[in-house]
Amino acid sequence: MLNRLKEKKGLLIALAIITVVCGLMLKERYLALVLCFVCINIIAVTGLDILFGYTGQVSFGHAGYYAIGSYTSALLTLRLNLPPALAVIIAGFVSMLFGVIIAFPAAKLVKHFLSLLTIAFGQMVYIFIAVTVPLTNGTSGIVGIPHISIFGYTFSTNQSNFFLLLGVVILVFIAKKRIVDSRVGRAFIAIRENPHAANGMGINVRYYKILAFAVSAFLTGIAGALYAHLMGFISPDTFTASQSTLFMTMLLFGGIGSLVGPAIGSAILVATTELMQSFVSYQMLIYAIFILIVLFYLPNGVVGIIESLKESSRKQHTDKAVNNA
Amino acid sequence: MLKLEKVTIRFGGLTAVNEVDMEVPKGSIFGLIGPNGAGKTTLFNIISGVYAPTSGRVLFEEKEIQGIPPYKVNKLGIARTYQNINLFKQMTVLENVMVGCHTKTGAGLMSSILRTRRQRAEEKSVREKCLDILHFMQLDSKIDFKSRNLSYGEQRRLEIARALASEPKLLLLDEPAAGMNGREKEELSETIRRINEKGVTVLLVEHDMKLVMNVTHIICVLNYGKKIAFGEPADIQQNQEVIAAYLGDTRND
Repeated sequence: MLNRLKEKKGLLIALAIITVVCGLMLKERYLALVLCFVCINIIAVTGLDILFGYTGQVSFGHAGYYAIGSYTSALLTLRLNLPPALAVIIAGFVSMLFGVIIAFPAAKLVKHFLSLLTIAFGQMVYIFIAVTVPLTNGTSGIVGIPHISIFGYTFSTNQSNFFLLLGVVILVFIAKKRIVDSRVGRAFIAIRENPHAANGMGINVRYYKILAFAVSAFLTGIAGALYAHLMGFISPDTFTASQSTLFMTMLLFGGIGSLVGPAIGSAILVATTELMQSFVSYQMLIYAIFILIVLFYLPNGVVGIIESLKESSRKQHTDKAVNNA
Repeated sequence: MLKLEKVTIRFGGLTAVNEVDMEVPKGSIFGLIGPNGAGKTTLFNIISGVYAPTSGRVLFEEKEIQGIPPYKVNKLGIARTYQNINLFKQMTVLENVMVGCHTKTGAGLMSSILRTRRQRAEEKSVREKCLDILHFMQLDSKIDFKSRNLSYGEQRRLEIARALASEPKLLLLDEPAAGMNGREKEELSETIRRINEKGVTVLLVEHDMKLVMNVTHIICVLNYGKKIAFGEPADIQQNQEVIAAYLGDTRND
């Protein structure tokens, strides 16, 4: 009962913040666009979190799934004239398919071997889209990707796109929470915590690793597709290894294995990137500083601070109760 | 129930288990003892599927199970605990036990995302079952603790609780009393007896002789990977070869 109430309180606060933000944003076109980026990154990083934060499988190649989602959706709408909303979903599944293909060898690998495989995957996708000119138009990129429209309404402004993306983020959050709190989520976490014991408890470790890759690639692919339709233009520049690093930085900074971690990480890093527009050449340096902060001071990210604050306040509470008694 | 036929395993030049024949009768508490390095844990790992034997057969309820992976062995009804505690440290006590129910449940990804009625009912029954098990193992006051925050003895009990969640027919306990104090050991003997009374066959590896002699019905003694004795606790205590293995054979000096 108490937990229920707490959950609702969190939800109310979140809703209040969103309403205030929406109110502010309706005037500011640029702010709306930044918030759209935040939403897209939240979806992508949530995908990475399922794989890395919950199942313990590292990936430095998530820009690959992001790219696959983007290009699939763009090409489906431009070449086959599919409605964008449908193309986004198909793009998610195509990305998922690649996730499963990568997972077959990846499920056998751990630590640095897995890192290398995922880096290689990200690079392969990048090079493929950069050189396959007939399909992807190479480094010039694809222009004129249509906006998403649902039931005849086209999301053409940044503001309307924000509401659309916010809706997707909420759906993703609900899905993630439900997965985590289920038999499947427990299997994921058990594999992260102790793969040998998970195996001994009847969990088919290989199957669940592949499943985690699939879910992860699906979400990041969807994020890529949404990005393509928001911007209307994509080129290989967006999908370099530094994009993979950015996703990982967002996740680590926000906090792995939590619901709000990816949201906090995405918000802070997107904001930083926007504020530092004039220092674009120093971007990677800034991400590196974020990673160093995490490594030395925030092993559990920003969420870790919140958790430890909560814990200490709870302790004070119980101490008081003990003193009073 | 469980039968080993000439089970041998070699690691390079080392024969860790050498042609061991052993039969664990249904409903018994079976003790597996021997000096350090005798091959007890290796034998456990063969039964639970971690290692495939070099030769020989392992039969569980008349089916050959040697060489099949651990997660399938668990599904057949063999659950185990680990000598060097292998809990899911960041998960709560309750969640640890819920993981143990994995093979007895079936909800998949889609039914979990959609929260189908069946999935919700399954979650509820899993929760209730696990709370019962935790009550049985006297861990009900700790359900929301992260498992790494438990005391050593509690962690050992949680390992047993997690194994029980898969409703095993055969329970393998690998040194469950290691690191426990006298009182905890007595409670453990009682717990093992109560688990056995529920119809679970228990295979116990343990160093604490008092506990083994107290609780088991039959004992098998290994030394250097070979079976050197087999019988009831009282006979084992009198067996010259066993005494020699434990205390050192002085006749050849």
